[in-house]
Amino acid sequence: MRNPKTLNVLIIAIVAIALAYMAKPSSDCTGSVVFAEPMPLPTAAPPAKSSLPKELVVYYFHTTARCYTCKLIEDYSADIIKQHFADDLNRGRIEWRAVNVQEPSNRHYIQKFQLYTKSVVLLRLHNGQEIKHKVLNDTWNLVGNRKAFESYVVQEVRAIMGGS
Amino acid sequence: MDTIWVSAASAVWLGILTSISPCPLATNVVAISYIAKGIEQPRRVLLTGMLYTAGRMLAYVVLAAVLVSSLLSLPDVAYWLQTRMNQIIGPILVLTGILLLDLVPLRLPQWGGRISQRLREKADAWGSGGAVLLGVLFALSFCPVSAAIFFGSLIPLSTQAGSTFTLPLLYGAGTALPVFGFAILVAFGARTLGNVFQKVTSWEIWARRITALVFVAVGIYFIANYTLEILN
Repeated sequence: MRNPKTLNVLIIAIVAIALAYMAKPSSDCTGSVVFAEPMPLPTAAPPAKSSLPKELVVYYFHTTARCYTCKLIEDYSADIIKQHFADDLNRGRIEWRAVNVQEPSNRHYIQKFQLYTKSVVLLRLHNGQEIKHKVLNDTWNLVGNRKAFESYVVQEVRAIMGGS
Repeated sequence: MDTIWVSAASAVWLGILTSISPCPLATNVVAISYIAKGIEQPRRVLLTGMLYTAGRMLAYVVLAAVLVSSLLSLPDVAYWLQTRMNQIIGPILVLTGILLLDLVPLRLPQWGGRISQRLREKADAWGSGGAVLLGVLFALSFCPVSAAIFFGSLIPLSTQAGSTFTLPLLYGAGTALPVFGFAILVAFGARTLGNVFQKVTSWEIWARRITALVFVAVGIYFIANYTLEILN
């Protein structure tokens, strides 16, 4: 190594920056609140229809660091909801939300839904109140088979909506 | 009786599935290079591989025991391991790589001398003991796929089968199996080629340097992805 001192400084600087970032207090302490915003899905321009009360929220929970399979699960789920429930989406009966649980204000979802990895969760509402929810854990087992993944998500959505 | 064997085979298979999924690839590359670097001494490669496997088995058995006994909340543990553990591993890999490389003289003024040589000798004296530590650290650095399999499949399987020791143990062995096998192939392949060219000794020096660079590169990747979050 021609200039070990420079390399020494460079590598130690990288480690120091990493340690400083790790030690950095999370934004819990800043008081900033970041709400999970509903993510609009790119749908074909629908004809104006009367809106309906919200009955189902389809969540996709993730962390800041994303992985290939996680993104695939998110993309598949969003596409399937858009494709099979376009009318309900457009009229507000179903809502899609991608939520980063690493944001301090979203961390409570981990306990609420008992999440242990990136997950798709269906939350059934009645008059704005939760009546039940389901974590779609099998998305991880089925992600290698797009068709099976699709029928699983569609079935689960229909089941929680009461066969509608 | 059959159920026990099915559960045992499932645990090993879940471990293999975890290991061959794309997300632990970076840590697997580090482990393979670490195990395979001792090409001059085949016994050391086998011993390092076995100790790495033992480290993984130990980590999963302890973690399963903690979770099953409900000492800690499963979602909280899963979240912490997937975020903080990956942040901790980055700097550890970079520093270990520097020590293995032995190109950068670390000087600590209060010690008044070059310590990297001493540290490296000490690391060598541990022999393959570091492999156990590496196994524990990598087992605990969960990624989404391994978390889904461990927390979502293995823990329920172990609880259902009433085997919270053996099944996590077998799962740990399964996670190390592909890495161990591949490391043996790499080490013995390199040794055979080295014999042909009568350069085993000099190849070992290069194997060590490559291992060190893999540690530094993967460490920087972990820091960039999990700590600085600039790769997303």
